[in-house]
Amino acid sequence: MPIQIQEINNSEEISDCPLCMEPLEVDDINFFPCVCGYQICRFCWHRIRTDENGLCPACRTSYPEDPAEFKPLTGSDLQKIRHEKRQKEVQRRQKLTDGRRHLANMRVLQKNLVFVIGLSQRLSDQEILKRQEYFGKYGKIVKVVINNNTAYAGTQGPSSSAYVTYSKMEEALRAIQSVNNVYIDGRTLKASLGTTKYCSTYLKNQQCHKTDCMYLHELAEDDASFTKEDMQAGKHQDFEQRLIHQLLQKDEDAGNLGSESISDLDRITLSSESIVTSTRQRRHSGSSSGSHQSSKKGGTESSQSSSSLEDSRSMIHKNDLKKLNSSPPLPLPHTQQSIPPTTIPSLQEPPNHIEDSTYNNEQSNEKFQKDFISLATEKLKLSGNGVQQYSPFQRFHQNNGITPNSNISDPFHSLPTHQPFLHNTTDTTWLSSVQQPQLQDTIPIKSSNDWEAAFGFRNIPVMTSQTPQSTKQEESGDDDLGFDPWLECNKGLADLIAKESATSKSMVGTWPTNNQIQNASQTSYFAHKTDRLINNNPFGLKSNPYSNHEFPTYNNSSNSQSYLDRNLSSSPRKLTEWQSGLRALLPTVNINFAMDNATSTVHQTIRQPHTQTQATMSSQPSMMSSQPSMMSSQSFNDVITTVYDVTTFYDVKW
Amino acid sequence: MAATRRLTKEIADIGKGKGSAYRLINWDNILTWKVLLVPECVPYNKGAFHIEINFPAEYPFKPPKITFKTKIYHPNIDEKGQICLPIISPENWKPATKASQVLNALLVLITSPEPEHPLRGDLAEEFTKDRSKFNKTAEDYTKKHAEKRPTD
Repeated sequence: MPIQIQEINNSEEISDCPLCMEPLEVDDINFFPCVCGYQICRFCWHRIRTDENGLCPACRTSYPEDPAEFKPLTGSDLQKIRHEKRQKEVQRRQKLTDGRRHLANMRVLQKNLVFVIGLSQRLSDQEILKRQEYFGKYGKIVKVVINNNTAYAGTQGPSSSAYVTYSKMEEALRAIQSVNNVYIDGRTLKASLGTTKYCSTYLKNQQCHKTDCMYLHELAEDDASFTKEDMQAGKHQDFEQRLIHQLLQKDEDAGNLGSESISDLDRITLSSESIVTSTRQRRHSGSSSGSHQSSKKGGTESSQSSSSLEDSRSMIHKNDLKKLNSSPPLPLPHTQQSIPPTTIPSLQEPPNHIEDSTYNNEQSNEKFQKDFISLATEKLKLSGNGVQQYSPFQRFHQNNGITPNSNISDPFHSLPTHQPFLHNTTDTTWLSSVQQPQLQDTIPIKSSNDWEAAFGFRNIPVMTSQTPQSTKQEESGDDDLGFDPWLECNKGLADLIAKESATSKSMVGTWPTNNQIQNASQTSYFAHKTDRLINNNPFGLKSNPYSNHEFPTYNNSSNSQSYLDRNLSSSPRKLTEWQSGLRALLPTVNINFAMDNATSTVHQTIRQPHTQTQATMSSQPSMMSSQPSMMSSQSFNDVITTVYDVTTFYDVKW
Repeated sequence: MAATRRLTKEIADIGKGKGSAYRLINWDNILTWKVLLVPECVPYNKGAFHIEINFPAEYPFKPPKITFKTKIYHPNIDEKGQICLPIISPENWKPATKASQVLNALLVLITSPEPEHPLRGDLAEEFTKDRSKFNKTAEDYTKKHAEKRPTD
């Protein structure tokens, strides 16, 4: 039997058998069974002679016993033909490979792939990122790949990056819009569309045998392909912006809640974890916070009426939650306030002092107190006037006149925003307030306008107004922008309100801090306003069982504890859930909540860090102290997360 | 399977056949083609005719069978749609013959009936003796029973 050479198909020569359409084999090439010269393969020839009528398929004359013309190929002929074939095959491959060589340097933007950096160790887990509180809420996640190798000690400390693959482009874009510049666990997340490159096997024109290979195996569209130079020139970002713009356009056309407002709302929420695990105490006064005022939340600076330290920690001030996407970065220098340890004694002071956190002036303790008083007085006046609709800027000016402390000459103002707070030994937990994700590449600003929270001052029914802080921004923001940021913000706010009230549902949830925000806002002077906002807020809250009824205000720690107890004891099912959750998270610990001692067990779980906090109040990093507050303010939906944090706490302790 | 491979290639060769006198309508089952004939000649140029070509599994060693699905007034096609086409008769079948050649032969038969090998003797007689009457009847019959001709 002669050697067969597969795939002899050459376009230049007709090499198929006309009957069966199979390629003629090498030894068929010189096979002509009929005198008419009609060539068929020897399989068909055999078949016609044995099974059929034995006639030539073309001229219908009987096939002779022997083929009319057949010159078997010699060995050398065969070899020659085979060599030619191989040559051609090699050439063909080469051509393909050459054609793909330039692709090696190409990076292709994947429209459904989100690349996020700045993830803390806690978040560097596929399952966590997939959860509904995190990336899960933006759409169906196909794959999450975490890269821990990029842990670098940058200004934000070591962090990881992750690739999150969504099923659809829209989901990825929404995730980017919502997550980019979100501040969590002491780090600012940066999200963008991810790129990938061509698989090396594809470039070599070979089959890729990796299952689930993340690299490309087919030619991608030109628009999304970028060389390194293109990427350095930022062309891929332009492309991304274009996609986002298209998405926004589509949303607007569809009359849906635009992703812009979605992301705005998302920005309101700050992950509670950031409070818990943030070991840094920061006070960021964002240059962009002036524009934050545009959001509704911006107007809902809450004044905490509770005096407990724990409670204060659970509060999140959302004074400058937002930044309108449209507002350009304001050129104010970012300021960070570090609290010198000397202020710690203020913790012991009566809770009647209120400090507008937006004054980022760190002064001596003495002056500090004085400022508290004066500010409190001022705020009493202001809040008495029902000044929700006040322009923050106006108010600032008023305040400016009254309070001597509202200057910008604070020595800490010159500190870069993202410098970690140096005084970690201070016990006070600085709530890192909600940060502003922005579409622009401006550095997100934290405003921790929560001095009371930080110092545990409560009980002042006075509203800490949101205004004074923004004034600084305004002053600086006014400079050469060519537009009035307040006007812009106002407009944005109005739009947002309209959209929200019109929309009762949404596909996007919030990051887990919802409850805390809600909690905080309910204690605020503008609670009614916030309430409306939150209850109308379609994001995430639908998953929160407490969102529809009054959220208890925690006036002190015992109150919140008892709330927890109440819930636990009144709902055995929850307890079981809790237990299983704990078990899942702490496989090495034997956890068993009996119904009877459920509360005490839980108490233990909760109070341990709690007491730790109190004992180590002035020496422990804020991470510890912030634990209990989180427990108390978290809804049970977030209990699992909480427990996880508790374990983190223990990890630290062990 | 030889038949599938060959028919696939034949379909590709025929293509959509826009503007041609026959159009391949449906070949979901590759052994059963549905074809629309669009003759250009009197008296059949007022309509179109659905036919079905059934290829045997042994194709091309065995000939296909053709049936008219649309009624036609023709001496070589009977009321059941059976047709007498020499090229696909088992005795004359050549495996080298392609479906497109078969269809062309069919169109030729429709254009020029062969009254000497009739399936319907009465029509053959009318066709030879009174051509004008035959044409008139055939045209009326076409208008009444045939499909609408495709516009493109």
